[in-house]
Amino acid sequence: MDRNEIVRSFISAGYQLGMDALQYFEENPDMVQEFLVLAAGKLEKPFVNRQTVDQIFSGMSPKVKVVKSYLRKKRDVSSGEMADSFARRYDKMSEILSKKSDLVNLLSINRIRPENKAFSIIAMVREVSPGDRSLVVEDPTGSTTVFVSDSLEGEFGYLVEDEVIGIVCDNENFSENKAIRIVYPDIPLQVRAPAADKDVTCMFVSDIHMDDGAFMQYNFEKFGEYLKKVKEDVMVFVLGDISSNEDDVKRFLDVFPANFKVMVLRGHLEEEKEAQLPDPIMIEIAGVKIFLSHGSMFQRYKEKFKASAENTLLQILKKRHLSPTFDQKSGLDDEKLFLDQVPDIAVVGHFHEPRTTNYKGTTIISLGSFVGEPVFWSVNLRTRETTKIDFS
Amino acid sequence: MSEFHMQIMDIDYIMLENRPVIRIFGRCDDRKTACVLVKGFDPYYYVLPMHGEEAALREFLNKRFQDQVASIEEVERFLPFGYSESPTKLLKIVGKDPSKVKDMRDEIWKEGLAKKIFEADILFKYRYMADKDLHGMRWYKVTGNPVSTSIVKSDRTVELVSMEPAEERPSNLKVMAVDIEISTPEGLPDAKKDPIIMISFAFLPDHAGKNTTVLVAKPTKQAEGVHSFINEAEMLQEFLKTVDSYNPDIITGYNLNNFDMPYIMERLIINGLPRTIGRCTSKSMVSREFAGKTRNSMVGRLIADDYELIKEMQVKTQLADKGFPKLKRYGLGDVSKALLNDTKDDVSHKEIPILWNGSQDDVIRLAEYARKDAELALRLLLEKNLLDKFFEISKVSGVLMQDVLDGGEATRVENILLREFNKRNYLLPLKPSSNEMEKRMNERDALGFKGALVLEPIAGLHTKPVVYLDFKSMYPTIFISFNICPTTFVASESGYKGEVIETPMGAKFVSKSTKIGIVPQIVQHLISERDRLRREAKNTKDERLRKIFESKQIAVKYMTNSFYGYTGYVRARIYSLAVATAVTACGRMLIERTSASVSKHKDMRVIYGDTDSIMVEVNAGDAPGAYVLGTELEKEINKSLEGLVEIKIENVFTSLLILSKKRYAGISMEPRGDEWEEKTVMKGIETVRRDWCDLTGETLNNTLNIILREKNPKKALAYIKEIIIALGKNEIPVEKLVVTKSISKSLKEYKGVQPHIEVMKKMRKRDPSTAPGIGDRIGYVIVHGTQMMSMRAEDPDFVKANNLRVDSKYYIENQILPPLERVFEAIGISKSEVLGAGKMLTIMEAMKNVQKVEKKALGSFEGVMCDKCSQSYRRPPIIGRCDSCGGHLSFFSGDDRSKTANF
Repeated sequence: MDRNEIVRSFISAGYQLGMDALQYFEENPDMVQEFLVLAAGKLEKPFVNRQTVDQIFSGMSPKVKVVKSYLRKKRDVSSGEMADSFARRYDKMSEILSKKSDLVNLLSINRIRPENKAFSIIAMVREVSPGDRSLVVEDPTGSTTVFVSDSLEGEFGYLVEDEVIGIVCDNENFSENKAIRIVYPDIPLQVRAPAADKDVTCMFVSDIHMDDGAFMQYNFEKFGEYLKKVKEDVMVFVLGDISSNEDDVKRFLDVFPANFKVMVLRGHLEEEKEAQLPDPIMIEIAGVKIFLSHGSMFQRYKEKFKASAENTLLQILKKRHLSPTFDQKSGLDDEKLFLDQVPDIAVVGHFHEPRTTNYKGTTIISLGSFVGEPVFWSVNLRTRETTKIDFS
Repeated sequence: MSEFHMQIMDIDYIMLENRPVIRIFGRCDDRKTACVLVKGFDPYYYVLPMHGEEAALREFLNKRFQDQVASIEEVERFLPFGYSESPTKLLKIVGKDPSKVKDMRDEIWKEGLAKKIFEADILFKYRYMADKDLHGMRWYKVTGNPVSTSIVKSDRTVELVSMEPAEERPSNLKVMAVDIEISTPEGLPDAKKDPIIMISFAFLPDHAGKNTTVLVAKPTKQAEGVHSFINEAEMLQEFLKTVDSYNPDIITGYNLNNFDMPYIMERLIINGLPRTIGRCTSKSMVSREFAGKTRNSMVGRLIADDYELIKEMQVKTQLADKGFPKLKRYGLGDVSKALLNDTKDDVSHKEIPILWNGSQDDVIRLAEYARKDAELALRLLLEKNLLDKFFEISKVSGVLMQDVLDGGEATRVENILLREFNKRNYLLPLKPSSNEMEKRMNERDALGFKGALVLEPIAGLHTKPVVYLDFKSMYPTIFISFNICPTTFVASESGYKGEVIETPMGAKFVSKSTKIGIVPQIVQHLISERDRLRREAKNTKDERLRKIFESKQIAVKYMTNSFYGYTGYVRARIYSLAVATAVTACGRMLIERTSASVSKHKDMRVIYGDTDSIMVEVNAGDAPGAYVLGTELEKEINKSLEGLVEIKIENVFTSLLILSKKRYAGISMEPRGDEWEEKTVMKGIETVRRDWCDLTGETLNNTLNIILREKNPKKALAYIKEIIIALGKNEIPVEKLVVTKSISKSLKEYKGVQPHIEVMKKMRKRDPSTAPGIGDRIGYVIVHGTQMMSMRAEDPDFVKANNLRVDSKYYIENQILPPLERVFEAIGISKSEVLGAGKMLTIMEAMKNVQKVEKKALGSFEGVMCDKCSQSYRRPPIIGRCDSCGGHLSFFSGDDRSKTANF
């Protein structure tokens, strides 16, 4: 969507756009329709500035800022453009990887020779072959096959197509290109975790599944009782799968007392109008960046890795890309999925595996459900303390 | 009491009445096999308890592992990292079952009672060998009490009384080669479905008066050395009996590890037969797979795969000029032809099922073919002395032979370190955990790691003589000169005030007068040993002895050079970034100092330097003159280095072509007494590749020769242009244009269009009886035409018979030019000058071959496809073009194509 189209969309809906809001929508054109849907009937004045945008996207709270959404509108793409986008991904990752001192004696693929005993390459994975534990990898100068050493047997399972990695090869003790170390772009270690300057509590829940036969009514009631006892203001993020039934969704939202500001992320059960935030999304509250996703976008990686939900997300962070393997049906903008901004907190639902872990300063949370382990978390954004809330 | 001399082949242990019994297997000098049983040796390890937790640790172990702990004693040992004047108090924990040591170690960590644990992951056999100073393949005088037991297959079994080193003597090892044949009309053999039809053996020494035998899995007529059976099961039983009765020390074959052995294993299982082929009656042969390779091992015997040994010789030792020429193909037939001047019998892969199902004479013919395969495998191992180097590595490092063949350098180095550290009261750390490795990598991230110095070469053709000088054993000598060792390292926070040696990056090590490091001592011993062996080899007139000394000195050289790489290897026990960095820093300093010495001379210049060698162009008229100048330079440099390391002149290049770092070719002259030995040296420049036709290799070699010998690049360019013109006129013999590729799977398993598969299809249509099949290597020529390249691949015989025109553009652009481009770039001739008329042809052809594509965007797509050669991809390559031919890409879905897709 170009600038003119954005302005026309707002004018047709009866709004005038301020420059700051226009800039925001130029950077996030897929949010235009989201905004217009969410804002319908809510704005008192027909003027939209950046504050209005944040207010609409954060529900009632002025504190939630949308940092990035990842959705993509379908459009015609040429094969050349598609190739360029992979080339740009390679360049971005290569810039990060080339600074890693593990990658000694960096060579481009076309310069690999038999006498190179120890060398490194930065390459995009084209094919993963579990049978002989090999990778077909490429860089702008060509492609080659790399065999992964037996010492990296566990690591091999985490490698996926289209990710960009550094590979340290040792041909001294082996013949053919033998990888003895895989180097990921990775997220930097956060020496001091960003925190809010005052107490802000965020609660994360997901996968209520009120219309499921296994729905745990008793535990849900315990959840309701718990909410009544909470006195401070809390922002609640519901990461989807409430119910496909409208009445259930209403019943769910009614459980929250007035001191809870509820924002709903789209799962795969809700109608669009009930969801306020697209899935996935990166928001910022009081300086803390929070990545939220229902989690189904990571399903295929979890299956491939045969890992827990939180470990899957950890591996994704290491790859520095939210969904490295190209998937034309995902509806996600490949270029936006590059993690140029690293979340301080990353939360997913969908897997019904309540766990939390910390990786280089990023808190990773996988939520439970009301059809399995009803365990969720709240986080104090000032202290960054995570509190487990168990309704079992 | 029994006394005999034995050469150690293998060691393992079993549990008897809940205690370990070590078993030492070997062959005696009276040709009998022996097994020595050792009781009373227990596993042990060391723990440095957390401060104040010694009592708690003892209590924990006594409670939790009361059945497993034999004793806990307080001992004093030196810790491996950092110089220390006095040892540290630790607990030595002696266990009862080696397999439980890991659990004990893990539990101690979990309880948080240990600050550090040492040597709790040493394989029990190597623990024993280190303590008793036993080495694989060495001779020992054994005294023991004979025992009668059914647990081992051995001519004599004794319980150990004493074992002392004995003088080396000739081995009596028995070697058996094995080869199997399978009959599969279609597809590759599947061990789950296809039975073995024949097993052939070759023996040295003879077995039952025969040097070969063939077993056949169906009744067949009588023939010399052929034994037939009713079925595969009976044949396999005879196989087992043969191994037992012959009792080989070494089992060999060609591609034994990845094919014959795993196949035999699978068929034994399917036929319900035991797999206890080794010298133990209860332990089966073990087959492990990693990284697409299979490793097989059995108790008491060595499995040695000819194919792997030959590839190792090729890749690692580059013995191209010592009777191991680089080959395009490494089938048994090709290798035998090149190395033994003999080859397999003339039976093709697809003839096997025809002969097997044919007449009795056909079956016998097949048996002779199988017999020859086993013979060739045995001859390769013995005549080419493929194991000699490894025998010596086993003797030097102490590692058992199977582990020498299957393991890496780190295993060998660690074995030596374990022994030498323990002898001096030092301990070895555990292998690093994944957390520790992460820490090491982060440390490298933070501090950086600079490797060897490779000077930027002055690329091009050097026609003035170039002297090649080499530092003698640079890295090992650096360890010694600077006393570099983890045990002599002075950490900045240690507060040590004594005399130190400081290395260029600032790392400090205590002086030699304070303490000589263990690694320097090991390396010094190895260097002295190598010098002694080289003197012995030079002085002996006995050719057999000379070869033995040669193998030994090569083994010692490998071990010596392994130490540097080990210290910087993140998986090493004694990993030390400080040590590895210090060594390379010293190396860089030496090269820089040497380069500075040379630059003082106006008539000399350094044109290249790499790690431990330097090339200096000198002003001399000929090789002898250059050698004299080089010798003076050598003296001068050695004086300036003050005995730290010695440099030596190796040879003179009378002409040298440098393409880039680590890629050069030259005519070398080396003095041999009064004579000069001339040879062509090539580094990093391939002249033989599987995917090249003969014309390519020939053109490259001739071009290099013209450039180097005649020093005439223009003439070389003219030569190439002649080749290009001859190609364009179809004047090159078809035989020189054949590219070969093997057919490794069935037709339906091949995705996409590939030239050799297209040829196979064409040949099948023309004459199915002579068409190649799976396992065959197929040659093809690319002919002129408008279809995509793969479809224009044709059988060379058909090309000749029908006088077809070859695709000169393909041969120019894909075969001849790529290897030559760097050569001409280095001598300043541009690619366009080389291409000349060829380039124009390319552009026009490209314009003709681009296929028309649809304009409408595809709603969904399977991938992208090349417009020129139809190669398909899941997503576009990074370069945005086809990898194979550089063509443009379009989205495709079924037969539909479009330049755009909607998503």
